[in-house]
Parts: sequence; C-alpha cells; structure tokens
Amino acid sequence: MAVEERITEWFHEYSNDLLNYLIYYTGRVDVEDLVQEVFIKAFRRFHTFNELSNPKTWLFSIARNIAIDAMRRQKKERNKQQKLMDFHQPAFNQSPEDIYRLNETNKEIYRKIQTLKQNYRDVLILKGIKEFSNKDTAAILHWSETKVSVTFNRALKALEKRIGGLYNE
Amino acid sequence: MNEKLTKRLNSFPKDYELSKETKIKIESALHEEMIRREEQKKWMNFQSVLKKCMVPISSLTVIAIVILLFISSEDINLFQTPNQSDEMTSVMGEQKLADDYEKMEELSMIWAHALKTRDGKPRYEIMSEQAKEKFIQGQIIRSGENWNYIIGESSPWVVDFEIEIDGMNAVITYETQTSEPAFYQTRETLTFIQEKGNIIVNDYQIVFENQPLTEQKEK
Repeated sequence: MAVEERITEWFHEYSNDLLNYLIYYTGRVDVEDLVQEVFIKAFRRFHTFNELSNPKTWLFSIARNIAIDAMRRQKKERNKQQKLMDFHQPAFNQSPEDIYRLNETNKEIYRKIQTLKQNYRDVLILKGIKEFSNKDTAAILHWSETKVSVTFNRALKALEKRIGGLYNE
Repeated sequence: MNEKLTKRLNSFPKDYELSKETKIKIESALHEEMIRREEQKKWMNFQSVLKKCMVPISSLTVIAIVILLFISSEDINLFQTPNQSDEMTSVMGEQKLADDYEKMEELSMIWAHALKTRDGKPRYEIMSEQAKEKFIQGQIIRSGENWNYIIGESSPWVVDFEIEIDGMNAVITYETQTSEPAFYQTRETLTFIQEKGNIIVNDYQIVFENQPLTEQKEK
C-alpha cells in the first residue's frame, strides 16, 4: 500500500484518539491544528517508521513531541503578552473539563495532574486516562516497560498526595 | 488505593471527536502536502538527472561553440593576446607601406619611361590637378597655346634610368647620350600625395640636366 493511502487510513482510524490525547496533554481544546501537524509530520517522516512497530504508538509519539513544542511556544507567547494583559480581559476559552463535562472530582484530579512534573503527566495521561498498556506506553515514551511501571506508580502516589482522599467520594 | 485511582483515571471520557468540517479540512491539507511532496520528488529527480547530464552537456556545448567560432571566422584567433594584436596592426601598417613603396616605384617607372619615349601623356595621367597645371604651363611655354604631350629632346636621349624612393619622394637619375657619343646625366625629384586612396604625383623638379658624366663624377 502506498504511503499516502496508509497515512489516510491511519488518519481515519486514529485522529479522534489523538485529538483526545492532545486535549488532555496540552489542557487546550483547540488542538485540531496539532492533529493535522501530526499526520503531516508522519507523512514527511514515514521513512523512519518501523514496519514491525504499531502505527498507533508511533503516531502518539509524534503527537507528544508536537504537543510539547506547542506548549513551549504557547508559554513563550503568554509571557510576552503578560504585560499587555493588564488592560485586556482574557478571551473565554473552553477547557477540557468543559468539553468532557467532568464532575467536580475529576476536574480536580485533572487539574492536579497538570501540576505534576512531565514524566508523571506522561504516564498518567497515556496509561491512566488513555489506557495504553505498559508496552505501548513504553513505545510512545521510548522508555523501558519497567520504567513505565515504576513511574506510573510514583505518579499515582504523587497525585494521591495532592488530591487527598478526593477520589473516594 | 492505586487501583481505585487508576480506575478513576480510566473512566475519564475520551469521546470527543473532530467535526466533519475539521476532518475534511485536515484531509485536504494532508492531500495538498502529498501533492506538494510528489512534485518536490519529481523536481529532485529531474535535478538529479540534470546534474548527471551537466558535465557531458557543458563539454559538448563548449566544443560546439569552439567549432562554430572556427567555422564562422578564420580570422578569429582565440589565443590572440593584446601584444599579438599590436603586432598584427604593425604588420598591417608595414604591409601598407610596402604597397605604397611599390606603387611609387611603379609611378616613377611610368614617369621615367615617358621621358624615354618622349610621350608626356602617361605622366599627365598620374598627376594631381596641381601638377597637371604645372605640366600644361610648361608645355605652353615649350610649344605655345596649341600645346601637346611631347616632352624631352631628341638628343641627348635617355638610355637608362635609376629610381630611388625616399618617403613620399622619388629621385630619378637618367643617363642620356648623344650620337658623338657623349654621356650625360639628368636628375629630377617627384613628390607624391595620397588622394582618395590613390598615390599620385603632386610635384616634380629638375635637380640638374644634361651634366656630362665626368663632371658629375667630379662633383
């Protein structure tokens, strides 16, 4: 099958999955441009795709890098505009909590996840929210499965510490 | 506890979907990228072929240009240097001088031979307007208004002559004799000018006339 056909097929199969991942990962709702970027980058870098590996994990790995770049850019932009913001009310933006209609507990859990360090956020979103296996999470993050397992447990403990007994409600 | 939290995380909704319009937009952007990539690939292939052909094509072009130059003009010397060019100009100048010398020699011969045959017509034909006027005046003095082209004397007559060219002048030395026999010399000078690309006689003067040869030698 030609590259073009495969990328198109993957787009139909995984675009919504990637959309949800990017929303949770970036904390933004307007991530359609990032989804587009994922597939364009996948097309351009198709020669690096290992036929034996899972296309889904490969696409998520690309998506994660794109999300990190976007967040970095966004942070820079935000710092630049910080002074100007004194005179402007921030525009109303929908948050992941709004679009998924998270209940108060989940909202709080999600907010706390966003405050954790990147390693923890990575595994909590991929393995916790997106329900990837240890093997797939390891493939996406280019870690060993053991590292995924250990980091996930530590991340859960860190999250637990921040939210207290909230999730028991 | 961890299990509960994991289950809670697993329960987070993941059902948000791209709108149809967004999907179409992304697909179209992807399609454009694919077309662009395809064109880029074709262009790169073309460039690669072009690069491979560049050396033979340029060599052939250079050879063709050189051949054309040689065919179109035999006078073009590709390896000509400025000094050689000067030399060429100099050679051309020398050639002209040689041609002029030959021409003046030829005119002097006509001039001298005319005296030998006593026919002034060939002299008249190689004169400038100024010289013609002088000739006519001389002939009128010699034979009146009904002048003719007869020149010189019946005796002594010209038996031989020598011509020396010096710049735009010629010196003709005639050897003449009488029936005694007595030998004499007559010398005259000619001055030439260039007129409309031709060399003609502009003036002529007798230096000495019918001097006995012995007297001349003494001088």
